[in-house]
Amino acid sequence: MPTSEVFTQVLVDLPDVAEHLGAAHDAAWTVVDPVLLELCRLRVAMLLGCAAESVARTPAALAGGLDEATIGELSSWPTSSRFGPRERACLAFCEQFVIDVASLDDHVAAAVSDELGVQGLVDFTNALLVIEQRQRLRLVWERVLDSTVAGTVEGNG
Amino acid sequence: MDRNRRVPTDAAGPERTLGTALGEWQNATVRLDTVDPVTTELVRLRCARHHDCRT
Repeated sequence: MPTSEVFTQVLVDLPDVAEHLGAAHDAAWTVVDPVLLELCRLRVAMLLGCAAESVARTPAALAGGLDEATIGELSSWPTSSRFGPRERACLAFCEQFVIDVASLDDHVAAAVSDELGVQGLVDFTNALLVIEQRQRLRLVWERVLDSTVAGTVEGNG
Repeated sequence: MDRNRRVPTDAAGPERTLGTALGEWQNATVRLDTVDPVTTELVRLRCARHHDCRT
């Protein structure tokens, strides 16, 4: 089950929260290159162990040229030739953001700013927050709710 | 840990659509009343520490 449907189900009695969370998610994909954000979304899924998000693909990223061969080397991004300085800067930021956001080093943030600009860094950080929190919320709901959400782990994104 | 500012103070905030949506989402969450205020505040402070947010 896609994560968006999980949110619809779980937040059925909280339409205000669901609406704004959905709007933030939609906006995230418009302010950051979808290929770049998709790489980060998939890396977050790998790090958090979110199976449904790992197998899902965002159409805008595929339309932007992201292929399965690149996704297949995502865990090797520091050394794989499929990833350039822009992708490496954002994936390094992404990993630190997920693992220990409070310890995020200045040089990691500066590398993203160098590649995307200051405004790009701000927007990328906010977009990353949205896609990371969606996955964390989904994972928590899968574990604490015993309704339909519990059966969505093997679903399609 | 380095605590230098990463974004200039005069820089613009997040892109307006995304910034507005994030703000509305947080407002909607804060308006929820299922969890008592003390627990909510403890969670908020724990999140602030996790994110190294000193404001």
